[in-house]
Amino acid sequence: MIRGIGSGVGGLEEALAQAAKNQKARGTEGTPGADFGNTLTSAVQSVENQQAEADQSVYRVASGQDADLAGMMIALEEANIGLRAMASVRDKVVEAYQQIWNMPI
Amino acid sequence: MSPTSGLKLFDGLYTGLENVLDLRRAQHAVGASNLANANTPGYLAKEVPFDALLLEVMDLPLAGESVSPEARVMETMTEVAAPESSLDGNSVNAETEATRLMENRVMYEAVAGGLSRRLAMLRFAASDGKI
Amino acid sequence: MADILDTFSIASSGLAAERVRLQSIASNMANARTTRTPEGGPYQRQVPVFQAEVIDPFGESLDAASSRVQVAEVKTDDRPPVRVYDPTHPDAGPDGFVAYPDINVLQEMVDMMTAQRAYEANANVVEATRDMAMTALGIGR
Repeated sequence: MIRGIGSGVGGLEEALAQAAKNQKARGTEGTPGADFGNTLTSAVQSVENQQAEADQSVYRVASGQDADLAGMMIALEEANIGLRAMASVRDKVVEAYQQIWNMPI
Repeated sequence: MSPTSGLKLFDGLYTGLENVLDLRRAQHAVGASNLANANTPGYLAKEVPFDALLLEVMDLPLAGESVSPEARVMETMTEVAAPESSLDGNSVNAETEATRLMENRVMYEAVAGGLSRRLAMLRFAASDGKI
Repeated sequence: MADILDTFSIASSGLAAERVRLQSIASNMANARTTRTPEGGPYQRQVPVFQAEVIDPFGESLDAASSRVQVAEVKTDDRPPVRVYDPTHPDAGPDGFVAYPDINVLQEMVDMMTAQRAYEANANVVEATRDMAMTALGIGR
């Protein structure tokens, strides 16, 4: 099973794309708060799934139940990218929040 | 004493991986002894139930129990009887030992690589993403 | 990591022992037809005797189960010489027979191949040990 390395960040992209579609469908394009919250939640879930998948893969190889070394390395790399992308998004959200907070009324 | 053993308490999977490395190092030493004595008269090859031990040292930490791979190796080690066709009483099969050693080395490096990457991610997450 | 360092010593003992064997074989092959030695009499085939040497018999850890190999001695083969009737030979005895070493060159070559393969196997162990030690040092970097 070969997954593209890009799908590591793809978890995040997919969640965001889905959130955009949801907003359009409900006609709630004016309420960014609720859907952004959902977006982040599903992105975090996606990263957690990648971590779990990487752990599973490492467990299977280490315990001798699986010889798919390449699969393990890929799963680890995807989890790594997902984690770092998540941290990057978090940083940007915090930065944007601070900018908004500091705007003069 | 490994450089990362301080983290052992926090993660059953981490402990399991370290155990696998210990186990494979022990197997390496046993295999090396067998190979060095491949032509020693009367020397009986030593072996352990490796596949079973592998599962044991991975699964016990995940269940919260500790295990010493080296102790288990000593407890389960047996000697291979010399075949009747042997002229000098030696029971080492050099080809099998050499192949096993090579496979062990590849898997050792794979597990070490997996451990290393996973550790890096734990460190990244623990440092609040500042690295 | 103690296992790893012990393994270096185990594998290098294998290299040393097989090298002694190769030397003996080379000597045997070179002197397969030697009828005269400084000690008098034909060349005697050299046979190294290998012995396992446990790293630490009294230890409780793996050291009690791991063994180096050592050459206990290089024995002289006590097989009687091959006697060939050849009165014209300078080393012929009063009965006209010449004593040749009982060395089968083909057997020596088979032994040589075994020794060479064992030497290579031990060299591979050294290389694998080195790689594993370097890998272990790199974890957590």
